[in-house]
Amino acid sequence: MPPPADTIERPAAALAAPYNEMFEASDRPRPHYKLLQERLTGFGMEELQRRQLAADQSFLQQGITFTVYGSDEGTEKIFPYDVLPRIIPAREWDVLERGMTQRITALNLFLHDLYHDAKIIRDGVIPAELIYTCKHYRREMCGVDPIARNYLTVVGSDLVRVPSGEFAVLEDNLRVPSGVSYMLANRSVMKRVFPILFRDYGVRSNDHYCQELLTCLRELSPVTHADARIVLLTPGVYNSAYYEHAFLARQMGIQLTEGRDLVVHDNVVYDRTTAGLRRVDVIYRRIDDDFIDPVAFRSDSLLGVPGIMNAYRAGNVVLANALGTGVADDKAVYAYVPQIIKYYLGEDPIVNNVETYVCSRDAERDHVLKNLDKLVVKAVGESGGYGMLIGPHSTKAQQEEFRELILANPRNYIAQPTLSLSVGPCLLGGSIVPRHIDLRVYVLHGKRVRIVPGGLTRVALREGSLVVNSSQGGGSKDTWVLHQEVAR
Amino acid sequence: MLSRVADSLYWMSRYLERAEHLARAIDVQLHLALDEAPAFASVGWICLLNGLRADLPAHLCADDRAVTDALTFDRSNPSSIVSCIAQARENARQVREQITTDVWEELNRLYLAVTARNIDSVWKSGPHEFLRSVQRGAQLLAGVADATMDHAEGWQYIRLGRFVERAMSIAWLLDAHFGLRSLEWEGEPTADDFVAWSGLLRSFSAFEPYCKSHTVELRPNRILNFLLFSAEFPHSMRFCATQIHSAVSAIGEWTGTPRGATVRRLAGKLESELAFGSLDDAHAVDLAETLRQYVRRCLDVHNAVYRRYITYTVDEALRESDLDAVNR
Repeated sequence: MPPPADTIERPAAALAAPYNEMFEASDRPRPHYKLLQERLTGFGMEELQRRQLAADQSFLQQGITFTVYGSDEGTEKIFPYDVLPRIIPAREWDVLERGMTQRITALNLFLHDLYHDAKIIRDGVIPAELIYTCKHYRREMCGVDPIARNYLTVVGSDLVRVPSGEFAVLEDNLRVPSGVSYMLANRSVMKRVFPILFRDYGVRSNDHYCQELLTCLRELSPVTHADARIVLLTPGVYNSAYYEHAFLARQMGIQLTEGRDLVVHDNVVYDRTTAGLRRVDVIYRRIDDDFIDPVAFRSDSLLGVPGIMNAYRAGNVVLANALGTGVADDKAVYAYVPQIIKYYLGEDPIVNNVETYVCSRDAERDHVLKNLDKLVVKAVGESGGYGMLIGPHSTKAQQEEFRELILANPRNYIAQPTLSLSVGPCLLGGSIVPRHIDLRVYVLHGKRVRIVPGGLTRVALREGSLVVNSSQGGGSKDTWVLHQEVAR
Repeated sequence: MLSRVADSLYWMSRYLERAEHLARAIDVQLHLALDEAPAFASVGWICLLNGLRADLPAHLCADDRAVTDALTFDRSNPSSIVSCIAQARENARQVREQITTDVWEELNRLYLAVTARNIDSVWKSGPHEFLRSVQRGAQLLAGVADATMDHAEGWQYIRLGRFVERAMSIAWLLDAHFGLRSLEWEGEPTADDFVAWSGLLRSFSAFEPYCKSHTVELRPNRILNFLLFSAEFPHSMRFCATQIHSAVSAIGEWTGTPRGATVRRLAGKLESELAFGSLDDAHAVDLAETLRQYVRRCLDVHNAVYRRYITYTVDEALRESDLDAVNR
């Protein structure tokens, strides 16, 4: 595997000038950032740093951490937090909301189709080979009918702003997307650190996320009575997102459960309680498909629950997200999402994809091989910033390595133009500097789609870096969606 | 409540109680060492280590600083203060959605405060402040748990853990203490006697409450009577036994099944032995044997709780209840 992209030296001026979130001209802030700029000037640097310190202290004391695999210096780390907010005007959010609702609706229909009649393949819109070679395709799901035909209950899509200023979807996370707890934690710290600024801005609340999530899960319950038992299934305390699992369970008031707490008897799932075994109806699972049932999938795993797949197929328990959703976030399938939206909804995408070359298509592969120094190449099954070649930042040797990898297994690679993510202001080392950011939006989908305003804005903290993943030195900041348009 | 959760809450609480007891006992011993005749100096530590069931090399007892380090900051000693607090926090982390944010944050704060220090920094400024802060942290946590958590099943496991741990540390420390010192003495008590006996009382925060009941005349039999049988003093064996019995009764009611009968019977037995016991009985049998009997009774309750609520097998559970009737 090549080294993480961030360790590669940055070439000078390889990228187009990025969109600046705060300034429309070198000295003129955009209308919705004007008030922030005035206040920042009023605070002065010392005061800002004092508040940053207060925020860091708050994260530490609350123990808001993530786990780094294979790290020597203690496994728990604080997710770096930048105190300056990212601000999204109401009009832009409206587009995103409609676009994401459309996208999730189409992807959900797509999944149902794939695991039933597969009309989209028969109609020649998407090649059969692409689907059936996908490592996240689950034959076990064929013919299974999830309640409300719901495959995608929680989706986290990564959006970037391209230089023109438009948002585009960089990728969808349809399996067990994480990070929403940081969105909520960032907000609560922000309200403590900048209460007056926050109030004066008119920011839409995101406090109700957990209630909305629980509502979605409840809508999928196989039993009609209101006291359906809903639990969150976590791989346990060593998982990198364990903090989030515990946080969500606590905020929803549901039980945090590990595989070893659950047993399946006669195709019914029970948990082991001090009062004996009790039936479980809905499981918000944060364990990957591969590990959820050692009988059906990986027998070497102890994280999951033996027999749970059969209970699921028998309709005795709901798993959210459904199994097998990963086939629709394969990076090569992603390239087809605009066609998928068109096919199922008869509409054009409201939020576009980033231009993508699929290496299994001959012409596109040739183009990629000729332009390895300009493109970002990604392995389709990887996430977290691994398995990537960032062309303009790479050496000849690395490009050669990827050429061979692509030729050996074209299905496994896609390429995209090197995007210059937009930059937003960050408080770092005693000054305010621009850093590249993206946006993960969380979409909830029960019987209908619900999107809580905002999301997780991730920041590439190192100068020039485009890598925002927390596992590779990224941080985050609060995302403000405004109630009203700001007058120019 | 999940069995695993009950297990974690119980141990979180036991580790905290242990850390608090350790901090107080070390603090008392360091303080006593100032007044003790040099010949006695290591006797106090030996007594303390026996009472903690701590398996540490004997030569440490000659060196206040080394023994304090081993009992406070040594991560390789699983029963040092820092290890206990780390284990309490680890247990809490596993059940974070079951405890309130207030409890979690206090515990996290205590953990950060303890891990930020070491013997060098503490010894220089005098360890008293630090050891007091550990006690205060643990007491604050107990208070925050009482004030912010539902007094439901999870809280009962926290209470159970606290008082099982406390009861056993009382029995062990008394055993160690009376193993080294006679219950009777001839003539007037000496200054050294006063130091040793007041130290025992202070190890359980009992000096002032004892004086209120019996004045400052320290008499071994009265002290023993107070630490074993006082109904009101929260660090007496009897008080702990009452709390244990009350906690397992509440747990039995919460789980709503007759499964808890054995547990309640054992806890009731422990409580009645203390409620209706007396020093004469204890001496008639032999004090050491009586103390060990109390420890065995605590372990019986502990084991029964585990068998009934936590480590039962799925087969047992299936045999016991008609699942369809119970669930739907």
